[in-house]
Amino acid sequence: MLRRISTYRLRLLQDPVLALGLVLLALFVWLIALPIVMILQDAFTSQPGDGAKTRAADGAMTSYYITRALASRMSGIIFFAPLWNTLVVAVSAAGMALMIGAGLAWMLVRSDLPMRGWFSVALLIPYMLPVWTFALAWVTLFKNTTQGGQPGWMQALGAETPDWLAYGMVPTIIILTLHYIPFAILIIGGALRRVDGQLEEAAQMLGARRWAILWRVTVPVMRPAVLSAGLLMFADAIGEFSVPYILGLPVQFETLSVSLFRAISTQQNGMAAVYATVVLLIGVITLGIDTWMLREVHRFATIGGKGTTSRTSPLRGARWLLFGAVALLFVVSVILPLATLILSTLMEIPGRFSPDNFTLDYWIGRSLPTVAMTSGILLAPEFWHAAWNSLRIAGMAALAAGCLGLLVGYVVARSPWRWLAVSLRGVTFLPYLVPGIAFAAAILMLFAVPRGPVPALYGTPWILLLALVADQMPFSSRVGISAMAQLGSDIEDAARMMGAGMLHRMRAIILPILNGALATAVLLSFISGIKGVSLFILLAVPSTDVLTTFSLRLVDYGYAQAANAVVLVISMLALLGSFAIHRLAGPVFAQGWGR
Amino acid sequence: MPEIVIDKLSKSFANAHAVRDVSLTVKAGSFTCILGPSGCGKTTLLRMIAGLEEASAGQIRIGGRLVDDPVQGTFVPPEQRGVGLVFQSYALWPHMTVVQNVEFGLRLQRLDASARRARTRAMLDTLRITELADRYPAHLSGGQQQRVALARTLALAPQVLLLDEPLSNLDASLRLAMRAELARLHREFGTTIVFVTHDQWEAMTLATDIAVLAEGEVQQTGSASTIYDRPTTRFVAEFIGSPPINILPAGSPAAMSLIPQGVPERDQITVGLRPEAVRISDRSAPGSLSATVTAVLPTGGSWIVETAVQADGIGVVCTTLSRPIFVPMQPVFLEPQNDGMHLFGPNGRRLSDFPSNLMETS
Repeated sequence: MLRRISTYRLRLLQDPVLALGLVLLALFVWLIALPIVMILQDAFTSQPGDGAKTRAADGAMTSYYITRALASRMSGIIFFAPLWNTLVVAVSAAGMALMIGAGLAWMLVRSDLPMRGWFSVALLIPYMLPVWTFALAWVTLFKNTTQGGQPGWMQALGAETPDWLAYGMVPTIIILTLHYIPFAILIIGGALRRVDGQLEEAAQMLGARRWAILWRVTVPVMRPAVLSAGLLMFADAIGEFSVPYILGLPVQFETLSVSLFRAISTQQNGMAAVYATVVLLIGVITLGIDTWMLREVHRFATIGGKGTTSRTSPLRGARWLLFGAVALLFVVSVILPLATLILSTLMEIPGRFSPDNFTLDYWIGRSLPTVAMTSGILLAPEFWHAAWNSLRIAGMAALAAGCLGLLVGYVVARSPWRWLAVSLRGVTFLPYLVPGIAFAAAILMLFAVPRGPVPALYGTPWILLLALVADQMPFSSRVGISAMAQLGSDIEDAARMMGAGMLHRMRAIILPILNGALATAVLLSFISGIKGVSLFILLAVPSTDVLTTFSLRLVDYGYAQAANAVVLVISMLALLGSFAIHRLAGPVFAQGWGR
Repeated sequence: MPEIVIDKLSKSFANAHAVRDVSLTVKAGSFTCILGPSGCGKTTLLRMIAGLEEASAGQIRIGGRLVDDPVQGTFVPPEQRGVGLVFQSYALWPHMTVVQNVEFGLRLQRLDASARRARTRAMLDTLRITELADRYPAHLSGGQQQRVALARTLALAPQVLLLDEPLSNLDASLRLAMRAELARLHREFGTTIVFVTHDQWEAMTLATDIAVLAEGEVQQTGSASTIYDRPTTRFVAEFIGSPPINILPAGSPAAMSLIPQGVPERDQITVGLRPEAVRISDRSAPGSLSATVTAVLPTGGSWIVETAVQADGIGVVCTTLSRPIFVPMQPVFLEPQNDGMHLFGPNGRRLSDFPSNLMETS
């Protein structure tokens, strides 16, 4: 009996799928689980140089950081205010986006709104753009004298904007709401499309009126999708960094992610670990609730029905009024910010609309009268350096994440050991629970110093690359797993019967069949790599700047036009990529991943 | 034309026994069917013969060669077993044309180009799909896809051909054509063919030998007629036959009236009646059951008459080739014929052939 088990086990170890699975597991434990564990640990260990405050040796256990955050004289300022700000911003933005998005989704899917086909693509554009595009446009428009430098347009036109409108919480909430509305439309609209029209017709046959059908049938059936969309937006908003960073400084408005950034940049690693732990906890709890609710959704299996024809409801008298409202939203969320940014890069002095004020200097000028950035952005070597970094890092990370995702899918589908499949799926999903900036902090703490055979990576492009690969794994592994699940095992067994080894099967059978899914995954990862900022802001140094961090650096130094120009380039790349995916695979954004 | 010998084969997954202690000999050159309801372990058994699954216990020998024995640590990988498998889903590679699909295995064998082309062409001709050579699987009908799958497998000249539900994905007329085709291939190539199915029609019409499998265990082996005429267990009797055999539960008045006095433990015996072995008459005869017609249903070439036995209301279904003269609610008499009557003991095993024989043994 013993011998039987041992020979069986021995042969299993020679199985290439298992070998591959174990290698992948080791890789992701190192790249994903280890940093997260370390940052949790750092919140409770005395950091180098903090001995006087923690009264503990370096590396010893201490509750100093937690106490300082939660129960010290400073708690209100350094912890509870940012926590309150974070929660208010996340709840308000998610809630408003949900309400507006639900209404829009219903109008786009179920009503006779004019041009709804066009709107259902056009209204998604804000989600394809980096969110701080809007923050920069907002600053360009509303900046007042509280902050020095060039004036905002409103001010230049003679209207002094109040601080509460120019900076801080209000604009942050408005901008995040505008950014999330497309996401709400996608999720709720998608669910609405899949609701079996026969459910509603059945209610109609029983004599229910239109509003009764909407309230008693459609809304309850939709509830899981709506709540899920809300929670996902909330979790994303918790970790949002760039918008409160740009808009918060002049009025000392901080959210947890900004506090985390400030703690890291002032060498307070212990406090940074506390912020990261809190952000992480909120993320885990939120997504835990979401997962738990999704399990409940199985009660609503009818949602996945045949998706039969559903009739459209006439909007009657309100039709053109609502059309106007939707068109206005499009103008406010797409045209206005982009036009503002474009114009801002073309004007010598902000907000002065006279013909002699227009210039291309900020794009292609030479010998500008500024301290740095003396040439237009397209002639600045720093720009091309950052652009090359962006393309190279995002491109390589996207390729690596796509291929690794496919391999994870392969092992999950084929592993004879269930625990291997389960733990691979779990560990690759972890980064989704962790907001980008907290994950970046964790990666930074792991790779800032040499550990074992791995040299210190801070200051090299490698740390950005590794962070991006890890950050994209939740998405790419899901693509890989679902693609492999659809592929089934027969198609591979057929080749195995003929003696094709695993590598040959990968090359000749699996990759050619899945190349569409792979290309989509790679392209989506590439876009989020190009436009992502919260993951990189902690990890990039001037020599490894990517476009996003370069642009934020320009904001910090007050080169608003140059910063806006860089953001416009990023937006253009993101839009081009999104439309490429749209052509390649249909509206994949509908899955709500690429963040 | 190798023989396949399966000895006390078991396969258990994490917490379930898929196949339990199965022993079975597939005769060389036979066309053997493993027949059983879905979930009975038949596909697992087939995959173990193919080498896609490893046995947990027991042995498999193909042509005298031991290919799987976990105790000795022997496991011959699928490609070295001389076995070809046609999947239920056909598993054609969607990104390859018909020719590329068929060539795949030959390329792996490093056949030179001219021999490969000749062999491929010959296979396409044999399966009459030459004109589909450059099409992709997505543009083929179900029947055409199956021919390609067969060609792909047969191209490597396997000594044993395994088929997973070969006819189940085809429509009625195509099934007849494919049935004939498989019979022809069996004659032409002389390979040993093993196929699994849950469809008794598929099993009875194709196979020379049938093994009935249920809950991971072999219930009965034999030719189609043996299994139909002399089912060894109540399960086999109920599984084979359409409409299914009528069961008169042990101890019911109807069952008791059919089992001669003097048979020991008469009230423990279940009676099975084949629908075509029950004659309906409007006159009483010795040993007949009085019943009432509940429905008369035409099925095309024959009729089904549903009745209820008057004594206890048990439904008895009869089939007849001639148009019945009976109408619903009409009282009739049922005369079971001895050759369609089967008796099963409390353990579900067949007792003996006929009630009269039981008398003699008692």
